[in-house]
Amino acid sequence: MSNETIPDNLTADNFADGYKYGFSTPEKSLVKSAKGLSEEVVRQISAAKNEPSWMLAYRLKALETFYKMPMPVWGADLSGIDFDEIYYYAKASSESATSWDDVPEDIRNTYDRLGIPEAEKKFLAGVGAQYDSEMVYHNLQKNLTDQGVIFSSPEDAVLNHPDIIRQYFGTVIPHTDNKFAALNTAVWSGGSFIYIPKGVHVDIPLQAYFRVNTKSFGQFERTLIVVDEGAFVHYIEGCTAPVFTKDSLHTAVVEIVALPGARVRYSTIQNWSNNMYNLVTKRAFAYENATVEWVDGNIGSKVTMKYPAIFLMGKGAHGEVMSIAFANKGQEQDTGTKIMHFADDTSSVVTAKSISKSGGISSYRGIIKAAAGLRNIRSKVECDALLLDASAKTNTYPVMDIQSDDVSMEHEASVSKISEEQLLYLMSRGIGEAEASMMIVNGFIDPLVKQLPMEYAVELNRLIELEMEGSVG
Amino acid sequence: MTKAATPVLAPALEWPGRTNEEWHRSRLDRFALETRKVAPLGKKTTQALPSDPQWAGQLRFIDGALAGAALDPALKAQGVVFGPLSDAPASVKKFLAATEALCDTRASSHHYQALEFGAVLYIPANLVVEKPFLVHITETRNGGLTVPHVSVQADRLSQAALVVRSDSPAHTPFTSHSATTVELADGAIFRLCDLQDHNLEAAVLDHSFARLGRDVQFFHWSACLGGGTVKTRFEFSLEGEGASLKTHGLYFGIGDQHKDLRIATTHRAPNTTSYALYKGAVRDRSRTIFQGLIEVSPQAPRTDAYLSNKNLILNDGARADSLPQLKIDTNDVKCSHGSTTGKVNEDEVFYLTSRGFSRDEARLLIAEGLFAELIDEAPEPLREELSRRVEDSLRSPPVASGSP
Repeated sequence: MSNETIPDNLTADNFADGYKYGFSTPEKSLVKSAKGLSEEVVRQISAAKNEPSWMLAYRLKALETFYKMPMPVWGADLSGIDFDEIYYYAKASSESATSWDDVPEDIRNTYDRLGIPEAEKKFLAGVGAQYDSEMVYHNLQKNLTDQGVIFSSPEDAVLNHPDIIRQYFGTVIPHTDNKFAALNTAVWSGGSFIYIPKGVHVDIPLQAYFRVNTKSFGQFERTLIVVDEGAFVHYIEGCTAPVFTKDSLHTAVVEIVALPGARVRYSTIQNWSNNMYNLVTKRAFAYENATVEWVDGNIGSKVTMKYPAIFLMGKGAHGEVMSIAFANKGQEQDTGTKIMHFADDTSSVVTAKSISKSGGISSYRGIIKAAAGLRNIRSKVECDALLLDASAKTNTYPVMDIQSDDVSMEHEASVSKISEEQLLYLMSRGIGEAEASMMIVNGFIDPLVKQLPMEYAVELNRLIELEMEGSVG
Repeated sequence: MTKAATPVLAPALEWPGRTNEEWHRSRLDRFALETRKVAPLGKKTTQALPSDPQWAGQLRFIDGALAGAALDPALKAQGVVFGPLSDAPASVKKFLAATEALCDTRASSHHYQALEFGAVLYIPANLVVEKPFLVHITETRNGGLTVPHVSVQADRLSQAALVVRSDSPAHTPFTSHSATTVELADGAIFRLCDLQDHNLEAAVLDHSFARLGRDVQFFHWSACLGGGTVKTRFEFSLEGEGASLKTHGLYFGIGDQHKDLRIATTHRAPNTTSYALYKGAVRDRSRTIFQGLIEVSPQAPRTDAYLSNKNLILNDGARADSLPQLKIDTNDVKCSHGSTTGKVNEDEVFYLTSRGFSRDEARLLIAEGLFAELIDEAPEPLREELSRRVEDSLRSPPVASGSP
């Protein structure tokens, strides 16, 4: 989205230098918690937000759960995380602005460099911008506000829409779900709260942009999206961070509720710097005839563990997940999908694609479950992995748990390298090897890229191109 | 989960814990490995079996004792060894020690610690044996533990086939912890058929292993019909360049059967191929779990591997889990897997009903057709019996609820 030129001497080895979002701004936090996690820190965060006591009580309960639960041992290596070395809260701006002019200058400069205000003008209906722990900017087109659409920070919603928060917060992903969901619930700060009233179609996307600026920082945004009956919204999330020598942690919880007949599309292109542990829990409930779609791109981070889930709770609900992961040197993209069929006539489609190179590991871990006694369940999963060199690695661990006899469940996975036949064909037409490889990779991810708004598709293609540098020859 | 194929003597191993994915869906206590004791061997009354033109040789074990033996004298003269485990030549003993060292948990090493009896088949180099060998193991001892082992070694460029049958009469609960280990030297061609038909109260645990040398062709065919609680693992290690493996399996779940089957194929050398096809059907309140892993090490470029798992759910409440897995550590490969789970195709049912079949009859015919492809690949002497067993499994009235 930015016009910065990319140095053309990039290779896999000095790629980290080419991460164009790696800049940082001198840290000027107004409020910053002490290093490490404690009840004191949780109370401090809650107090900083003037929260009602029920939210503080919920946070403290979650903190207890966090201490009790073991670290997951089944996935990526998380031994590098030291919970005592992380800053859990940092506030850089006194309040959330609704005009970029009111955002402190150094922060605004950051978003200018990321191209957010420009994108807002061109093709977004609303934008939220989070800087470290707090949302610094939130704006929504007036005609949507008039129709009752709410797009704010969750803190704002806790104070101004407590009825919706109390009805849905923590119901899709309870704090007991996993250790990192518990952590997020205890120290959550920032994120998005979206409510789309009955029958309202938000035709152009809403976007939130998450930026980490502080060293050794943990970002714990909390997003709740409630789409009422027959309504539609497309929400887009982007994330970047500076390159620091110390690792950072991003642990988000995203809850989506699609009420009967609603449709929600949630698109993320995650481009964290390569020192980020990205461990997020994302889940949606789809009620009768509702549709939920996750479009998920994982390009950045050191370790990502992310398994967008859809629980098909009502008759006729439909879930779709499209994901792409790129694991480059030193990266582990451990992603996948969980689809739980809990009602008759529900269907799901999962398309997962991954590309690995230079020792990068991409894994698909997924589960499709059809509960007993259900009628007319359909599910199709396709996982394709592309390996660009001999040191690239890929794993596929799907689980199909089918307990009903009226089910049609299909799973397919394949692993391959760039086809020599295709390469030969393109090169015989006068296209250089690097460009030909890029064309083949573009073709590989095309079904997914097509699902993104044009501006994001261009950006994703460009990111992949950048990752591909130095992979041929 | 699969250790490297180089033997490393394992220290005292732990039982598989809660985090062990392989055991995630089955209960170890169902096998009562620590409480059930090896029952005294049956009376040793070995008799020469009448020669049967279908088999190159036969071994009959009843309650751990060798009850009958037969071997074509011409094959014996050419150096074939086919007899109880105590007859094993030094090379087979060495291989046994190597497979024991591969054990990764106490659940698998238990077999070697409790090893009771077994059979050995050794085929000398360059020998081609046309007819299959048969090992038939029957268990009637009630409430105990039986630990049989079948060890196969086929030398360079030899060709042979072996059928292993195991069964037990009804209503004799016991635990069987078996293993079949196969070592195929360069250029050998071998077919192994495993037919497990224990009673519905038996707990059946199996840890098998095969090592494939250069240009080996190994065909493994298995039918998992019996047993109340079944947990099996077959590891195939493709260690020689150009080795190729074909595995076919069928399994049924009826009544309260619980079957957890795992195959793990590891490609450790260039130009190796593997093809796996497993089909299952579940009915009543049974549950099957199929785990199929294809692993490709960095030393195995130009691997071509495919695994297919198809599950048919015949009534509501029966359950089939499918876990195909890929672990790929190099890029010059062609690896894929496919899994489908569902009911009988309604279009096909409609076609048959329009030709005058009842709905139920149509569904059964289609289900039987699904398995015909596998039965056609089974050793000739077993095909008719297998067809009948498939038919019985699909057509018998629902098995009443009760403890397995």
